[in-house]
Amino acid sequence: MRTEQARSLRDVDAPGRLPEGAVSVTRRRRRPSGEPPPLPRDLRRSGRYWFWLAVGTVIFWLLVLITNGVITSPFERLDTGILRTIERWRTPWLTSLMRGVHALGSDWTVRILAWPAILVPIAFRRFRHTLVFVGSLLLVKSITGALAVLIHRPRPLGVKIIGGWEGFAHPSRPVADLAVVLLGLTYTLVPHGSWRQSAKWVSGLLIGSLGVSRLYLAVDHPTDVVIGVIIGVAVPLVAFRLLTPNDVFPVTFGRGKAAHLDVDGPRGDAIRHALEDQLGIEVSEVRPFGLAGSAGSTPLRIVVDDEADTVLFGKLYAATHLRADRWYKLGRTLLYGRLEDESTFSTVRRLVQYEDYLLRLMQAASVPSAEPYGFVEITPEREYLLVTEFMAGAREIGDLEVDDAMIDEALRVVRTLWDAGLAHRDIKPSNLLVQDGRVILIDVAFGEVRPSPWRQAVDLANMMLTLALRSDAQRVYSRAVLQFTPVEISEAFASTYKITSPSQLRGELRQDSRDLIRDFRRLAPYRAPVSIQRWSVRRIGLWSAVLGGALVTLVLLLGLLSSTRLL
Amino acid sequence: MAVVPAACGTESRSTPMCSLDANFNALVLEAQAVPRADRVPCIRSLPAGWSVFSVDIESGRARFTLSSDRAGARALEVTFTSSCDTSGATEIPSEEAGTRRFERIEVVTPGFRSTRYYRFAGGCAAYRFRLGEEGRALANEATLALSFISRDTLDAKLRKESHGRLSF
Repeated sequence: MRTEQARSLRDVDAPGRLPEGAVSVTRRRRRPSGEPPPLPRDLRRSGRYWFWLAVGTVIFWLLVLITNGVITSPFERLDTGILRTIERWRTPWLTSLMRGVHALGSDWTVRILAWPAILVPIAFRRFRHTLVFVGSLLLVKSITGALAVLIHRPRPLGVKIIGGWEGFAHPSRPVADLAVVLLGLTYTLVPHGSWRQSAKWVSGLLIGSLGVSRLYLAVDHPTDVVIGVIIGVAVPLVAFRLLTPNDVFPVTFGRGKAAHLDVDGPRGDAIRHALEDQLGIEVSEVRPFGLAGSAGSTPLRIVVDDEADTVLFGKLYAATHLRADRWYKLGRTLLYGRLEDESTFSTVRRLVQYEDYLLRLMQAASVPSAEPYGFVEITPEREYLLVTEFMAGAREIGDLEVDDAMIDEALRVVRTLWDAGLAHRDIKPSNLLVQDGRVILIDVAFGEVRPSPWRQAVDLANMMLTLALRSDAQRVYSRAVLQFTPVEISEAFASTYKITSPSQLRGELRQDSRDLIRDFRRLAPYRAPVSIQRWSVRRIGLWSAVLGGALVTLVLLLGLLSSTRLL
Repeated sequence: MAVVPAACGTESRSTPMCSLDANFNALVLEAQAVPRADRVPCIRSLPAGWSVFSVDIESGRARFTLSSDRAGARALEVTFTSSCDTSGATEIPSEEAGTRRFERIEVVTPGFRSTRYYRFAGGCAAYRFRLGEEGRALANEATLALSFISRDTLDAKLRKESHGRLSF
């Protein structure tokens, strides 16, 4: 055994190396220092333009404050000149029109526009969009509120003010508020593309109309309006472009899995370049594959541009998956306590490194699993693509009739995991492939080295349940006792409840007319159920923190919504 | 409402102080809120224990509130508008030249609640006292903190600073 293990370990390739002869490998290229990664985070041209405008505005304010307003004289003259010119154009009908347009800047308009931008993304589980919007709104409100007091500019002098206003004039808060909610609506509700471009034009028209009306009514100076627009546009634009880039967080209205990333367009190109540069393989096709069975990453089928059209399997991981993993682990720890106690990953890189490591460990331990070919970096610390062999011709065990040989193969996988001190932790029909009669374990991301005995027992039970769904409990039990002792099997089912099974397996158990867990418990020697509720100081602390955090968040949210006049 | 809480009782830049050198723009904004008033209410100096709680100025109205460590939070609210309803209030001689003073006492125990009005050309300032039991004797002390500054004075300063370009 020791000799086999040592040989296997020696056979494992270095990270990022493809086995010789398996795929035609061209020359790799090291990315020189300073060159952007395959898919850099980009504000794009208009984002950079607004960002620098905002920086210029900040410099202007600093100069105003440092020089105690000395530098503002030319602007004052220009503002007054413009307002006096506009004042001369006033006519009764235009005044009525401008008063109507001025309502665009009312609290009610902002409230009516803001709530859909908050609630619709929540309804479609795009919480990040809501958070970025609320954050942008709060930031704009805070900046404009603080500046109004700091700059304390009165309303226009030397012209007759014929509209309503509140507080100091600079910057124009109604214009900034309208801009931030319109940008928020555009980036939370309108999908990327021509519709969003149109929405931006409409937003620009509405913001411009409000600005013109405020100048006509002489409630703001031109510089107040311009700076209001810059703050109201730059903050949400930069925030949405940086924190919810279209290719990672697209605006969609489906209820599908949020984990799946779009691999067309710039990301598709980035994947091709990354594979070529970092693994030395030229790719002719990259497309999503088997999305239904994956919730924690975007699975891809990668066709290599070689004579054999070799196919590789890829798993694209992004920050969204890291967060999903954190929430999943927090939920498990809250639900089960000490039994599921484990740490979260701090970065996407570490998550992918871990899965790559586990795949190599599985190979070294002779657990039938996909051969790892390393991973490539798409965006540093944010997106990585794990590459493994593609199980050509393999079928999910759930699609097949299960015979004794297959049951033995599958149970041998668990036996091997146990012997190697590993747990898969996600054994379910879609993670068991059958290729030429060989049962292969895939999706090892949740795997654990030196797991708790409880977790190993649950792996066995989940495997037996998966097999029994395609046969019957008696048959699976009779094969299992050839590799596990009845005591081990009874421990497995004493540890197992429906909640301890992955959701796919749980769903299939629910649909099955038989109570397979009960059937297995009857077959195995009696053992008192193992409680899955383990309390510890850490778990109590976590529950307290989660409940306290939720309460504080709710109170803060209500306070913030109230302070931003959204309530 | 554009409420600007004064930070920790300090006189923030939005507080209308009766000084042309301190917070002049706050006085100008107040004058813009009620454009026909010939004067605007302002804070001369705060007696010990008193602080500015909030300042809220918008077209048609200016309002600021003062808090006292003895009389309680928002013990005095000053509202400046173009007119006010003084029905039920008793006119008494005003100590402010050019104004008429009215008093309406609502509660004398427990605590002290009353409204004092100063009416003048184009405007009215209402002082609403909401004093706790311990601070009921502080009404006069609070009013000593308040005064008025004339629009002409503000206008003159405005013209001087803008070299004659700007005025109300």
